[in-house]
Amino acid sequence: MLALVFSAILIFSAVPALAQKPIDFTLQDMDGNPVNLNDFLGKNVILIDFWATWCVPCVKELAHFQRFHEAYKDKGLVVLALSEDGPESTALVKPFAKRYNYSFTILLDSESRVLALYNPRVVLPYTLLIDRSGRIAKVHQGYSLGDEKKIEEEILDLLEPQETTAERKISISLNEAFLFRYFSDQDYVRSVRGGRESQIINRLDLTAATGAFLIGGRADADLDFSPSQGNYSLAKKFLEYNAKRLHVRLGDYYYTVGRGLAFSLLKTFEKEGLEYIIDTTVTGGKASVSAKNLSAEAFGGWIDRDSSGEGGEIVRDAVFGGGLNWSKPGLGGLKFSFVGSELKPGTTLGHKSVTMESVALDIPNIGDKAKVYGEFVLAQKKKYYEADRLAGHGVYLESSVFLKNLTLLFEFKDYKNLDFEYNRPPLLESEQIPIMASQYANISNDITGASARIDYYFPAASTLLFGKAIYLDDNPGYAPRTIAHLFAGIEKKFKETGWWTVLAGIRQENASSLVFYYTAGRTLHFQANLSYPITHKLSLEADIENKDFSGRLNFGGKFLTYHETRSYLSFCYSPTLILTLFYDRTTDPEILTYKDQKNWFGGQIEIKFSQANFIRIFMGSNKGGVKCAGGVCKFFPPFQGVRIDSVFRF
Amino acid sequence: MICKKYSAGIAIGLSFVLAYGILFGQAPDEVLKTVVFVSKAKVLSGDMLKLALQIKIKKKWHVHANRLADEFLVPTTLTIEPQEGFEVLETIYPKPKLGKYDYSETPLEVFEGDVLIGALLQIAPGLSPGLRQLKARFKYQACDNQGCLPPKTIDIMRPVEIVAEGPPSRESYPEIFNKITFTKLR
Repeated sequence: MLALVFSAILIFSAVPALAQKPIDFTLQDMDGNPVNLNDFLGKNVILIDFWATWCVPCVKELAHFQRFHEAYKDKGLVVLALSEDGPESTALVKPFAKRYNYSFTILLDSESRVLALYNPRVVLPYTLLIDRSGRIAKVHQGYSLGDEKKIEEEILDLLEPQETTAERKISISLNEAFLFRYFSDQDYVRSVRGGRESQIINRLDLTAATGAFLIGGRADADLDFSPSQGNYSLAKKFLEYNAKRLHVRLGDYYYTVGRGLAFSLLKTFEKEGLEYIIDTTVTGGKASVSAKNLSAEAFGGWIDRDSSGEGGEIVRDAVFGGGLNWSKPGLGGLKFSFVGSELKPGTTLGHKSVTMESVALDIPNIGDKAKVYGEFVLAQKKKYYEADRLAGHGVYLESSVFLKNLTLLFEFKDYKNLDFEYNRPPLLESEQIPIMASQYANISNDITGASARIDYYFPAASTLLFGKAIYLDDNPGYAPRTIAHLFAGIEKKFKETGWWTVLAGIRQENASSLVFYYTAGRTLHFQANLSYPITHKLSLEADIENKDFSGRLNFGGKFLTYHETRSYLSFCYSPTLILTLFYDRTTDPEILTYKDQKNWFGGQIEIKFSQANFIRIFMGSNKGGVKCAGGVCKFFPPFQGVRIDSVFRF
Repeated sequence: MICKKYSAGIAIGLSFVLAYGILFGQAPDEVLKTVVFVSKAKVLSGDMLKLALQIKIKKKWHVHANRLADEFLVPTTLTIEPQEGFEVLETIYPKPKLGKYDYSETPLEVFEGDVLIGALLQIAPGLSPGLRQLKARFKYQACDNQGCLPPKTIDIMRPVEIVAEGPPSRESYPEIFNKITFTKLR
């Protein structure tokens, strides 16, 4: 579903990627003086606006940008307004600016040379916000009344952290958050929590900045009660230096090479506010230096790993690597990388050392009509108990084509002997995640797969048609497996904030991932969800997902069917109160083995004090899991009885 | 099983073939389409000639009206190129609509949907017979609910044969020209 929304966005506009450095340009101002973007990059928050005298929405928006310029120029905001007036109206730019008393910098892009680099669709206005680190933070296409409020908030956010650094003072940012949790499910409390019914997870983040330096850390406290037990630690500590062309960070950091085939330590997500599921960082240092089209980076350090995966001895793996990037503005880039690692044995002997060499080609925009990404990795692995090195490789290719309202996305991958504790290669189906994460499996999980997705958008009807076909050939450890999956659906938006989606598909596999039943069969699945705005504040959200499996056991040939239904109904009184009712039903033999319960009923009240501060009270029982609707995925934890979670951030 | 040896090449090839087809085989997205009509293919010198430009504007897009209070905006205009023996008596635009859009509190005078612009020309008496090329320029600047495209000019050319004598030819396309009220028609 997330991919669906992503694809829909791609249809509407092809924008420079967020967090990327903007393409440099030099243009003349109205008095003929050359102005270079680089002069402001890394120092100021920059608002770049593409506009023209003949563009009514641009003029409406510029009135607000003039106000922002007056209010925030002393705090570090620079407004660069690029006039796209061609030869017929260039002469009008000066009198126009005089009429409206514009005092920000106006640059003449009369051949639309710069606009073509940033927004080949040439629809005006087009606005970019660039943060103080010199990266694109926000992009806005078009203007509607009220957009200025959002843009002003974004400017204030970007200005805030370094408001005082411009004056060479120290600025300090403090973020305190805690999660209080209570469990009444005594089975869960006994088996998972060692008898402790409540807990507090506290996170205190401190960041201090002065000039180009940034220092920070997080103090963690995990406290359990009845009986009480406390764990305290200092995590994510770092020192950073950010100059125009040189960036250095010492301490803890997340790091990924390309799409993660060779190496990836990224904070994947945050479960229920504060409890991190994957929060592994490298401790050491990284640095990057750039000059014109070339940049080089190096990283190194160690990673502390639980040797057993179940709270056992912590062992320390070493990693190091580097890369060389070449990029051409408006075209794309080429990247060579190397990653090496020395791994310590855990409770099971895995790899002793792993080295990866990768090359990636990225062409993010081919004439606003297509994009291509390719990554190739060569892996060399040495195991503790084997004399020879194992050779492996990974190939990942992704290509998108944009044709008016049609978007096509192709993916291909071929991974052989690529299993490594610290890589997360792109996956076509989320089911593979636990498989790829284990380097200690005796059987290498080689995967070959391809997928094609098609999205067709009807702008007049605000309707998206989508379909996807996936073919996979892998070996999850218990048997070689092939999967073919086909699904298609419709998504329609209505009444500005409302939408509905229906999706149906068929998934055929010759060896399912069921633990006790190596089953060949097919799953028919169907999903429908709806978000209906009843009033301006009150909305209803409903979701139902149904799966029916039928197949035969690979051993004995016994016929097996099961079904699974997951559903919820929410009433949202925006933004304060959300009431949700759940109903799940399953006859999945694997789940029934653990818990002899087919029907699950539950309810949840969520009181939101702000986006980040909330109290949730769960009642009843829920099988748990991630439920997605309209591109927004929510995690619902498994529970039975009463459970209270409250998160507050300051 | 996928043939691993060739599948990577096939995927890349397919992507590039599709990308190539789109880059080089696709016309640029047009916000509007135009069709030109003339009332007579053969016209007697001293007679009148009608010209109509039918414009079909895509849904959700609009162009400005032909008369605007703001000098910086680009009005929609049909301009007949001056030519010896051809005098433009009048150009008739439809009544603009008042459109309300997300970017403005106040409504704007615009053309939306199907629009018909007419021009009435007087052919000079005694104009020497022969084939003439009637030239005109249609200029507009289109916006949707949130953004605008740059002004665009479409060059129009239409051959007209001038004849010295003969029976008056019948008017073509009455269904089009009946929709335009020419005030200087004799």
